[in-house]
Amino acid sequence: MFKLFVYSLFFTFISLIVFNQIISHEIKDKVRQLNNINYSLKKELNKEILLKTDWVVRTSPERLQKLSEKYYPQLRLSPSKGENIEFINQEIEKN
Amino acid sequence: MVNLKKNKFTNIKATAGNDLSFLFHDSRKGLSNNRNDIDKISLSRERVHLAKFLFIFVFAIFIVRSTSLAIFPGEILSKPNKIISNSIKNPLPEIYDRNDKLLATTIETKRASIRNPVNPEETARMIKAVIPELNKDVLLNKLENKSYVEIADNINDIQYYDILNSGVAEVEFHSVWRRIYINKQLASHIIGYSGRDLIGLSGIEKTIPKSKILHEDIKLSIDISVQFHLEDQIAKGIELYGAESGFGIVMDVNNGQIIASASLPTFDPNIINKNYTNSAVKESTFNQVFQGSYELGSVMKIMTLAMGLESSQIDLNDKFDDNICIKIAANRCLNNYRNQSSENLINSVDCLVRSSNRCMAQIAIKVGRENQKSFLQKVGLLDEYLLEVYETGSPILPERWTDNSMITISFGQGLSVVPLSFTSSVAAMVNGGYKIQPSLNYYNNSKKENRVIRENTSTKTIYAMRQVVKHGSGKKADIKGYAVIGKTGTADIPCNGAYSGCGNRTSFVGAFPGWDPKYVILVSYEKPKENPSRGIMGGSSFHNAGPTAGEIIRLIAPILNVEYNVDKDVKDVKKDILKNNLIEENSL
Repeated sequence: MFKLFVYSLFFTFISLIVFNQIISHEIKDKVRQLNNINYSLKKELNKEILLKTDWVVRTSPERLQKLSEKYYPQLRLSPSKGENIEFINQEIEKN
Repeated sequence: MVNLKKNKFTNIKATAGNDLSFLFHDSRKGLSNNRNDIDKISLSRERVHLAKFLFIFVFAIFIVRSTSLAIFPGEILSKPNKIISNSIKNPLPEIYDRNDKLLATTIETKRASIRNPVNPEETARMIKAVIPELNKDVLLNKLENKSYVEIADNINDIQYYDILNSGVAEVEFHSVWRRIYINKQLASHIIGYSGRDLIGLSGIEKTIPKSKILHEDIKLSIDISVQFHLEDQIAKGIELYGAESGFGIVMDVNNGQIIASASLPTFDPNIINKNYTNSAVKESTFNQVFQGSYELGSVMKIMTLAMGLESSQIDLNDKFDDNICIKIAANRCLNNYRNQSSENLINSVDCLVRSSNRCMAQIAIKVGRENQKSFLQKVGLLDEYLLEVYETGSPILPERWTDNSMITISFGQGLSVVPLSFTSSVAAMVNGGYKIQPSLNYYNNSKKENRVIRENTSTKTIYAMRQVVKHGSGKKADIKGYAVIGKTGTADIPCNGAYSGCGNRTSFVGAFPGWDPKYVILVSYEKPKENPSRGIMGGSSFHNAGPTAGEIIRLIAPILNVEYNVDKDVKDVKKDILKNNLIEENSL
């Protein structure tokens, strides 16, 4: 009985170790995958930030004003005026 | 123990057919003879069992522990080495304006450095070949004397491959975060700037590490287009009027959100760490709107008029003598600005339109010193204020609030106020009478709860301010379609204990649209001059601050969705008052 107990104990432990080795290997594999994904994510994020930054630089009010002044003869762009905007409630009041 | 060696229990093997009787005989004999020996045997057996158990127990502990360690390595390994997901996020949040336009962000760049070069001279030569802007002698000196030398910061990909291919073996690359401020000098006083290690040194940047918003994006209440027009117009004004500096602010009158705030001269936060001298940093990072404290002059008359109306001591029809002598020194009467005065009695609206000092002094005298102080305290002009940035100023009060200071404060001298708190108190005058808390946070909606003046008083003040723009010194700010209300102010800058010879500060405070003020605007110039060659015939606020404010309103009102309506105007309270008087007379 005692022997059986000891053997079963050994067997349990050995199977646990084997099991845990399999799991830890899988974990390491997953961590490696996760790190790869994180790295690519980070790269994408950096790219996104750069694109966003680029967009903001291109549409910055300062740059737009300079460009509109430069190409005024062709485009005739000017700041929006109040009289060009109609308000809905104004229309309702009129009718 | 001798007997134990001959023990028959252990040595004799019994086979089939043997006579086993001797076993029992012997054993009985042995039992009877060697009882103590047998006890010893069983004792030692028990000991062996015990040792076995102990061994198994210890072994089991080892196995359990090693198994658990193999399954949960986190106990002995620090996490970042295994999982780098925590480092994906930027170390500092991004900053957006109210329309979700990016203002500041963090990008990852590389820093190249050299550790313990074997041949410094050769290394310096090879590095110089790929980074031409480096000074070879300085680099060589550093390489010879230091074990770790940084050679380039924020390098781009091309430089990175150049340095890699230069053939220097000792070069190291570290990824570093760099804060970039996309709009350069735009709104730089609000956003602030950070040092090399991303430590915020001013503005919102300084607030970030000390608040709990470390990884969440920040949404400011400012509108970058409005901010651009404000800064652009003030910069143009400074150049046109030859002013030394200028500032401006646009604020929502209903919730205190700061839409734009400009303080010129300004700075570029991207390069302030490198290209600015210490004095230039000190000068340009000073935010006049938040930190400054100025005597704004006649614009304070709005407060005096509102105070008189609120205390019910005066009404809009009350007449005042503009030629009265109000003694402010032994032999000196109070002068009006440029000694203008009127022959006839003028009513309190005309007092504001003509910007009469004597009139305001009379109102202040009627209301009383203590009431004046408590009124200014109530609207928030005498206290420090709270804001999301650390750069806040405090007002400079007179040492003793005497009758003389009461008179001078009534028209804007003798009390230095912070432009921001002045703007928010003007907002309280025109939003129906509620005190508001200025804020830079888009999500901060301070509610209109704390009433400081009656709604009726607010309507009357708006009416008087409209008359200033319509008929008085604010004419140039009267933009068609918005019924702009406001007040100009030209204050002498005190120096060497006197109010003359040091130029003046011109301001315009206004709000639009007049029928339901939504935004309040303050524009101010320091020491503007006349410029006859370009049509600027004077140095008062009529000629500079007023027109600038008008131009800004014209540009920003469509951006801020303010209704354009030429038919609407402010509520004509005077008509109401006349009507009331007629009714009263008829009833009598």
